Amino acid sequence: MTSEKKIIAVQPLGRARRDVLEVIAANLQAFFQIRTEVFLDQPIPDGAYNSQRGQYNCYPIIESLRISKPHHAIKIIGVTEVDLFIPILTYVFGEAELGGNAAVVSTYRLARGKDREPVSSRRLFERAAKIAVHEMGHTFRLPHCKEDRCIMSSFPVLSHIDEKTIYFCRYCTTFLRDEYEKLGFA
Amino acid sequence: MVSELNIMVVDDELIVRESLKGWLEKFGYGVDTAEDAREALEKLEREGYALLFVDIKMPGMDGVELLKRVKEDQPDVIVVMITAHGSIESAIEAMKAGASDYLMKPFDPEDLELLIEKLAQTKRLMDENRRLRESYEGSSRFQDLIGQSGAMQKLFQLIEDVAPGDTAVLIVGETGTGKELVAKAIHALSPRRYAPFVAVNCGAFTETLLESTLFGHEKGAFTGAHHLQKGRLEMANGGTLFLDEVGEISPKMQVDFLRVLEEKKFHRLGNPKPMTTDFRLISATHRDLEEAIQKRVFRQDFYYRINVITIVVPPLRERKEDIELLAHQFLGRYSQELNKNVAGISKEALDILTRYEWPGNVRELENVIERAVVIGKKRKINPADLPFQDARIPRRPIAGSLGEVEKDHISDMLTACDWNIARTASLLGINRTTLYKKIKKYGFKQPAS
Ligand SMILES: Nc1ncnc2c1ncn2[C@@H]1O[C@H](COP(=O)(O)OP(=O)(O)OP(=O)(O)O)[C@@H](O)[C@H]1O
Ligand SMILES: [Zn+2]
Ligand SMILES: [Zn+2]
Repeated sequence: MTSEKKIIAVQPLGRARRDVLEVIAANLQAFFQIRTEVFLDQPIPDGAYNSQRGQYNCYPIIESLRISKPHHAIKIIGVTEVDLFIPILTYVFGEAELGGNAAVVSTYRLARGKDREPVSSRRLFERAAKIAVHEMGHTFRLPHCKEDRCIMSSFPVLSHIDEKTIYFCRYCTTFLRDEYEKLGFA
Repeated sequence: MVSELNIMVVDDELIVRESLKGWLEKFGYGVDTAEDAREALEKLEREGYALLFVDIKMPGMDGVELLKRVKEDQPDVIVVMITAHGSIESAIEAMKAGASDYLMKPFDPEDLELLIEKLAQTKRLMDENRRLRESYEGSSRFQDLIGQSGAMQKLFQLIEDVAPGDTAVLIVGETGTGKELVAKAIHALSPRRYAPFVAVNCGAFTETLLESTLFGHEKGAFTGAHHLQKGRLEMANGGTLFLDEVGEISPKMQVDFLRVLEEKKFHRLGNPKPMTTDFRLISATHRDLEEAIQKRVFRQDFYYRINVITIVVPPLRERKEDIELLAHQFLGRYSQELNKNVAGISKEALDILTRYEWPGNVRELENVIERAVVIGKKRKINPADLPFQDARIPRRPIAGSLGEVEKDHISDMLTACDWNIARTASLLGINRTTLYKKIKKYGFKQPAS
């Protein structure tokens, strides 16, 4: 397996802003040093919608991404504008399984500030990139980090996201390198 | 002992168990699940958990009943109740019965994170208090020097016996056994404890440098002596002088030093005026000095002077009961220092640590644990975090039939590889099918982790 051939796929699910997709793809490529490709959009899988909650469940989405992932993609990340949840939580910005190969992120909650007024595109891009890099980090087996500024530290609320820098701390960098070695593309 | 936040999620809904487990694992916690109260109680008997999430409404024994049982048996376990809308009454009942908190499904992500942080803090405080209580009850009077083996208990007794006096002590032991710590413990229990403990590693200096380090020198005493420098003999005045690797002192220096010990006087290089000093001498060596005396590289008169009382520190392989205790001590120290979430050692890893022979003794063990904390990614240190992969796995002495040897060897390898079949097979140089057959033949079972 060589890293030149393998890619990370960015999969729009339903409607998704082109510029947001490009920003996510560019950041993933820069931080993981793996080529990214933006795929053609796909509908959100049936069965993900929960009518009681009016939100979409991440698990069926991740499962269908995993199945649809083409062979040359080592990871796939879904990008959507709908509101996401996992069964125990009221909402999530994104979700990924530790060491899995699919992740999903949503811009639904990123587009507005504290007082519900829309935020600038720059801010939105920054938030989307941070969440995508964080969730992708989980797929490479990175757990949450205690270093506050590190992109792998956890951020349950929006205001925390804006405080992070997009950077991997010393430990996360080492762990990521270890994982690359294990995957055979050191 | 080091604590860890080992968690169990008890809920009849698979999706809740898996979802919460996945979320907690991203924070590095070890998580088990149980689908009903009966399974939870069974698991509690076998393993220690610090924190339980318990669904209030479950078929069979309900959550509140489970909570009461747990609190009767293990009051230290923290229990958080999970409730659905409309079951607030039972939540209140649960709080009265000893639950620490309750969460309403689905949880707000921020609330959940804050709650876990708060509970982890509570747990740390509980452990801290227990540690304090235990340390009052003895064991840590020798500062950092710890050990539960009979050999170490005897050593502690000896330290207590010799500490009050002023006689010279020679500490003998292999490298890394803790000779310097023993010297410090003697100093700390002696009447000289408020004066300095001054250590000199005699093996680290050339003869001339050791001379000026011990005796000090006046400005201009020799080329390069730009300032006046006090010697260690002067600095140790009133306290304890520790000569590490005393076997490395040259015969000429032995003569000079012998005079100091006899006259309690010395002079700085470049100054004929004698100065007095008063210190207690503790020396240490990993060399066989009797043999050095035979070979005439060590002076017998000097030996008698420094060796009024001998303390032997046994190598770690002769007191394997101490390995677990020491490993946990270092684990606690380094996970705190490196700000890492590693809080335990898996049974398999401990097994490997216990079987290893430790030629570098406690220092080597300390280094191995530090390394494991740095590279470890789980809550527990696993065999993969130890530097004993491949051919360096400690072997038991070969005895018995070929079959027995093979059986032991395969079992060792499985343990060392954490039951990773592909890795074990490749290390053993056999294919996976063959390995599966052997596992079946010898009846090995993967330990539930
Ligand atoms: N019984 C013990 N309890 C706790 N820590 C120990 C113990 N023994 C040794 N250590 C630790 O192991 C390391 C080596 O100990 P120390 O320097 O005292 O060994 P030494 O015998 O003087 O070694 P050397 O002969 O190589 O100088 C130190 O970091 C020390 O803190
Ligand atoms: Zn995360
Ligand atoms: Zn980090």
